[in-house]
Amino acid sequence: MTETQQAESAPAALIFVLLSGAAVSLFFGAYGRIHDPTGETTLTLFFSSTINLKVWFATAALFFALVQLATAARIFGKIKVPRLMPSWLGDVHRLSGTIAFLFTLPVAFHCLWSLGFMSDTSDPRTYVHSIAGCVFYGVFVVKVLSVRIHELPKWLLPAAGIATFATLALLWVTSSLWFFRNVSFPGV
Amino acid sequence: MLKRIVTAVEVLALASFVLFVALLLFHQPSSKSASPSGTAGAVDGAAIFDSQCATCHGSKGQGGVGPKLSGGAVTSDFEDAQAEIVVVSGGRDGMPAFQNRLSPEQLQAVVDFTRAGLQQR
Repeated sequence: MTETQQAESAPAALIFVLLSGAAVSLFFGAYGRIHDPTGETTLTLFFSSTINLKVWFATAALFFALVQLATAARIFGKIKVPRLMPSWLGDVHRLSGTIAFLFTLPVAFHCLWSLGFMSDTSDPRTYVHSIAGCVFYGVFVVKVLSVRIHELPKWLLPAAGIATFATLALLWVTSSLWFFRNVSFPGV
Repeated sequence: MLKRIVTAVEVLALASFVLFVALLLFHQPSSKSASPSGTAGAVDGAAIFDSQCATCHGSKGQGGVGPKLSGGAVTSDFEDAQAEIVVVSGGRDGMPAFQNRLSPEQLQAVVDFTRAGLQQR
């Protein structure tokens, strides 16, 4: 592709990527509002309750997201540790992000299917958490597409990466951290 | 080797996401399918209590922002479950109304939990 063709396709590709992310967020938001919350326990695995699983899975997701953020900072040259970039760093970056994403799925399933979208503004924590949960998968899609589509502006990938991490951190603060501080620090 | 693992995990993640969306759309609650009488069925009152009530009433119902529920306090305040459901549904004295947040089955389940399971925590 020539530079002229690339310049012409960049706005269209950017609009496509942003619309894709918005569509995903809107899908989960609409689902959360329309779906009748079941209130049922879902996955527990070896945990004593679904809530304990959610608290620890969200914490694990944040941990792997931190690994991805740190490796991204090294790949983009924002930090210089390690001084020589290992050849496997890119793979670790991809793997940590994918594992973080996998940890979010059972948590999001219980939130959406069992509890639903909390639109009551008198409880800001659950309201913000509900919005952030829907936004998260939208920005995640933008981030993944901005890795795969090369015609996009260079700022989009780091911006989408930071937005994905920030949204996940907000989700963790309004759920797991709140739970640790106000309910208990659960074992498995 | 690491590249193969990364690719395998990415394929797994994509398949998991497809399964996640499919379950959201098509997975039926067991209480609706297995309990046509409309009872609370498999609705987890403890999970609802932990996510909705524990912040004010404490994880063991010991009280905090909201009044104590443990040690028989809830059953002495409300002689029957229906009276408790009325307060949980409509709210009272700073407690928010849950009628728009929880279904009737969820209200019944969480009230049943406060009167039984919570007392043993």
